[in-house]
Amino acid sequence: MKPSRDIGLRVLAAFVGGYILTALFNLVWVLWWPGHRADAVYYGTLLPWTVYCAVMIWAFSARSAWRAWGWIVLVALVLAILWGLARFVK
Amino acid sequence: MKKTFSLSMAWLHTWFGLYLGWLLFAVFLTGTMAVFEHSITHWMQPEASIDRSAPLPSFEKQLEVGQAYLEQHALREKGSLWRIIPAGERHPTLDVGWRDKGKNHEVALDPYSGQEIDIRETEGGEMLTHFHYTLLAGIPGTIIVGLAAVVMLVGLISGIVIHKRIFKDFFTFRKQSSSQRSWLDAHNVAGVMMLPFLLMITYTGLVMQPLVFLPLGIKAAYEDPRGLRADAVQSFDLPYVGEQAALLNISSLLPRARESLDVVEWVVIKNGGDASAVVEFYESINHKISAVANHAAFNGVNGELIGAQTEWRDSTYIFRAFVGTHVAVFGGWTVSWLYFIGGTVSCGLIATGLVLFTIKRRKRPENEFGAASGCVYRLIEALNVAAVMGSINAILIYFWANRILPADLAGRSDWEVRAFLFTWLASLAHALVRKPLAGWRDQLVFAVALCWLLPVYSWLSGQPNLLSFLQRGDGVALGVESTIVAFGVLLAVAVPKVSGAMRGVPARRKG
Repeated sequence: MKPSRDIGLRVLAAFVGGYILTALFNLVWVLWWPGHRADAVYYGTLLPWTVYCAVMIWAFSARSAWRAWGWIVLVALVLAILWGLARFVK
Repeated sequence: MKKTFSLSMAWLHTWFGLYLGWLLFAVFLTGTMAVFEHSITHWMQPEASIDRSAPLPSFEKQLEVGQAYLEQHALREKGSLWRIIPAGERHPTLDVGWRDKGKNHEVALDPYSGQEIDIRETEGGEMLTHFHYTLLAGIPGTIIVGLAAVVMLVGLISGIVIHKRIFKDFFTFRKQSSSQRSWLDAHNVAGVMMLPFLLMITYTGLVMQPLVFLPLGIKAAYEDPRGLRADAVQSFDLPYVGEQAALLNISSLLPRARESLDVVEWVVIKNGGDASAVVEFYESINHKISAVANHAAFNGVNGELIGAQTEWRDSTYIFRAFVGTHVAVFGGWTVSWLYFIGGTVSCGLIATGLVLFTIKRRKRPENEFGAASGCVYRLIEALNVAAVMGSINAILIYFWANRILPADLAGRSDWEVRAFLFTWLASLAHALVRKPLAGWRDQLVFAVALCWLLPVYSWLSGQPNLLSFLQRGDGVALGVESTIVAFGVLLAVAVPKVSGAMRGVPARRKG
């Protein structure tokens, strides 16, 4: 792959993929929180940013840009399933 | 992407640091100013600098004056929100306000005489605070700052990874070795010393804005996001009736408010003048890390206690602790100054990082941009100057505009902001025209002149200045102006260094 395309895909993975996982993580957290919804939202604001940082670092340390995206898509799918399950259960 | 994790992180640190560093410097610098936003606002309203040598009238007396003013002037309608904020140590005027068709109307009163003070129109320090999380561009601006904050966190983490000798370098500052080495040492020392502060301030800044950054999670729990606030903050409002009724003397409620609250700081009157009026007292948050304001509400007509909230959900308490640690109103002047110094050193960290990029390549070009590398390096040099010196000068020009523009000019505060924004453009244009080091030096000298001549100009033009602040016992305004002068000293130290570097660098590398 051309280096410029490799970097472009990684930047996209870092920012867009990073946000998708961050938002999904937050969403799943809020939906699965067992207690009051206010607690779900307030506690839910605290951790998502560690996810964003982790994805960004992963996007630039993975062996290839495709591999970086592969894992992001996989984790996004798992989170999406958890999201769907929460909707189904409630 | 590189051979090892460490090399990948070095790449990430270099390029993300460069591209986002330009924005982050402006955000950190204006954020540092935000620590003293109210002090700056006070300084930018010299008309409000009244003689403070006599002791302030009592809180009760000030409430009575504020109430009388509101009853005479404020709108009486559904949802009218009257406010009284009496003068105190950090707050030099007695402020009253109300809501007028959704807009807040504010009036400053002299706490001694109760007279209206005719204050020049300015957005004051709040403009700088606002800039540091919106870039004055609303929600898109906040999103851009948010992304830059995530990159800042990643920059800190990647910085730790590529910097393995953290403890040893804490004690290493090779002033006399090569310029690249000493810039790197300065960058490392600032980063290592400030690491806890940087992680805290950046992370809490991200957590603070869930409505903008994480709207999906809130919408999943609440159809109307305002429901979240309703779950956290108890409401003691009464339904609007539409019948006139005299408001009781609110200062008479103070002793009973103090039964539930520690230190009452300000008062809100909802539906003032109506039979449904509610008088709500708010506690000061100056002494607690979690920024939650306990409040007690009374019926504004018969004086019955409607309710008081002094307990909060644990989750609200923790969330607001993140907010409180970011905005730093909890520890008085000491903590404000610690944050201010922390912010200043952080700005130094970002600035040295930016400078390092170009110094490295001036010595040994890496030609990352192929044939265009020379031109791109040149552009990066200019953008560095505009990001660092442009931000510093923009704030100073904002202060100058406040003193130069006529006090009664129409749209005055907009002109102040225009002067602030225009300075960046001028700074970039200048940096592109001049050779890189000359660009740095010229703009440094300009900034020093702005810092030192400001009190002189104020004095010559017959405006309040260092001397008159001292005579009136106005410590807040005095503090702001002497800090500006002291900042000039700090910048002046850098001038001979840049001039020295200009002489030391061979001519062909200058351009």
